[in-house]
Amino acid sequence: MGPILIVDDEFGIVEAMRDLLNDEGYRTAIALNGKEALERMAEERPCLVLLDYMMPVMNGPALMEAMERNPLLRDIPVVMMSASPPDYWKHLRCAAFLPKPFSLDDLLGVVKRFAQGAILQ
Amino acid sequence: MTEGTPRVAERISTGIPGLDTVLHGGFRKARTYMLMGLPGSGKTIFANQVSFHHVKRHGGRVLYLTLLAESHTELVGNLSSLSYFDPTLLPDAITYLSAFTVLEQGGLDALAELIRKETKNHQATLLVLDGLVAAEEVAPSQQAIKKFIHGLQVVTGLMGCTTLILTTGRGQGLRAEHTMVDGLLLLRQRLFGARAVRELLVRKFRGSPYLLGKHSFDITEDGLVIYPRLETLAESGTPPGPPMDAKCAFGIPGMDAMLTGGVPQGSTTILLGPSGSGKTLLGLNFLAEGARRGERVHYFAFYDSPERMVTQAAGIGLDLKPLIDRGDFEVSFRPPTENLLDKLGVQLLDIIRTHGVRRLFLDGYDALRRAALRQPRVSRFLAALVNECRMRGVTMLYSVELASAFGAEVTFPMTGISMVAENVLFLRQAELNSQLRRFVSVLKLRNSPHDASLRELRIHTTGMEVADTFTDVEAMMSGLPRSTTWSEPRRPGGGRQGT
Repeated sequence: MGPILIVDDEFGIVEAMRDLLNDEGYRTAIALNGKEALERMAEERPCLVLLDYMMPVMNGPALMEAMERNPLLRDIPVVMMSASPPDYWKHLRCAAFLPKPFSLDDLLGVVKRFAQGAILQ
Repeated sequence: MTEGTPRVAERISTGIPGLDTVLHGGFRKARTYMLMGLPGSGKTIFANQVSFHHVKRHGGRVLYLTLLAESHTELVGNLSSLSYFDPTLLPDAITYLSAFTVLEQGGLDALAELIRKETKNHQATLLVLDGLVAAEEVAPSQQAIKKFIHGLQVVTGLMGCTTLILTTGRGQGLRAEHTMVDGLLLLRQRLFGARAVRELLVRKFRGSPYLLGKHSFDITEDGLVIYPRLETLAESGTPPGPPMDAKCAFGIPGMDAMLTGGVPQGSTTILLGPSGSGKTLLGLNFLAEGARRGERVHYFAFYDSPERMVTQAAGIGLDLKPLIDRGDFEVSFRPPTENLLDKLGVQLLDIIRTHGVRRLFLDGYDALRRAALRQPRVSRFLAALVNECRMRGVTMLYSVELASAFGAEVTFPMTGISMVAENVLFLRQAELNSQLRRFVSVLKLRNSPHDASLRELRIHTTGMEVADTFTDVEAMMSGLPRSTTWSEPRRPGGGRQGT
């Protein structure tokens, strides 16, 4: 099973999420915007995308559109992470939403649901 | 589908008296705060006080990581004399770990990993990182330490763990990495002549209002006690106010007649006069009259101990003991040695707000002035106190001593009277026919008619009396009275001529 792809333009957050998920035994990959995320997905299909809404170059909704257009990517579950009010993201077809700021328990809860197979044996 | 809802920042009380007031409720949960101060400023006592409180009050768990090469045994030994220290909380609820070797051998990355794993393992809800200076020393660049702090904030934030970072700042003042955190608190010790005063300054506190400026603090056997500046605490706004005609009498018929019944309720009155002019006794009469009427009153003294005050009052037939015994007449005594103005402010506010006091006599402006350290502050302090009294309908008197008992020149020891009192009663002594005679006059009584004459103030063993005006002399206020029936005026420094 592919890794969990974390996509956020704040490197501190990406790094912290990566380290915390690695500590839990999950395999991860990281990207700092939607364009980088598509490149990572071309290298290895992830089992789950943890996606920030607002990013430079290509934002979260734009990445979701690109994934929707690609038959190889459209069924990958996406968890949207955003500090914006629900009006901004409730129309998006995400598997789940994680309103920022979220806790480690929230994160692990959603990851456990969608990416159980990403745990390294 | 939503996995959670945005959180309203939860507060965690600090357990340091006064600090939650300064921070408007305590630290914000899962945020990172930096405590900066030179060695001896109280950082370790502060952090441990917060830690023990966090466990006892919030049922939390604390991870205390030291980055310095110091023994935990010694650290714990030093804390054991403090009342908050509870050895039964160690090592489970409060865990002390040294990260010195990890930092030395693996650098910042290894330290970040240790923090992440140990915080999770211990299920810590409060992390103390003691000695950031050690991490700064091993950091390859300033950028690296900034990245480390940012990463620490994110990780502990995700874990819901509040973080307290302790640093000396290497004595080099604030740098960018110190301001990245959610809050920055500075502990300082300042010298005023031979006197040292401890001060707390909150430089930054994200997402919340806080009390600006410097607040004094003490380190006691109970740990830190912070005294927020009275000026930042006092209530503002329009006082609900008692009826305009409500008066507070002195219980001295002549005095009350001069004031057409007394001073207005909720107002503040200065008793101005040199030593021995009768200020304290007049103030005590005022309080005793309130207590006799069933009001709770408070005498806040700097110079007279309670015993001495009771004896002094008894000497003029004022029996205060029954009033004190039944609890209507409260007494506080603060010898005028090394008082902290902020500490006095906290005590006064407590009296005004929680004791149900209706009359307050603050006997000794001079002691307040000396406690202020920075002289311009005392007026602002008094203005805040006066406003607080007005808001709560507390009628306050305070005595202001004039430096000179005799002489034509009277130097008022304060400025901006309107800001710090509504009424002024002037007391003085003058020599008449080789006798010292006291007199009292009403210099100012806001919004109330009053007798503007100078009346003799007599102190008998049976009580105080405000008698008639002086009919055959003038210029009493100058301290150099002259007879209106004599042909030659008195001259300063000399005897009467032509008599």
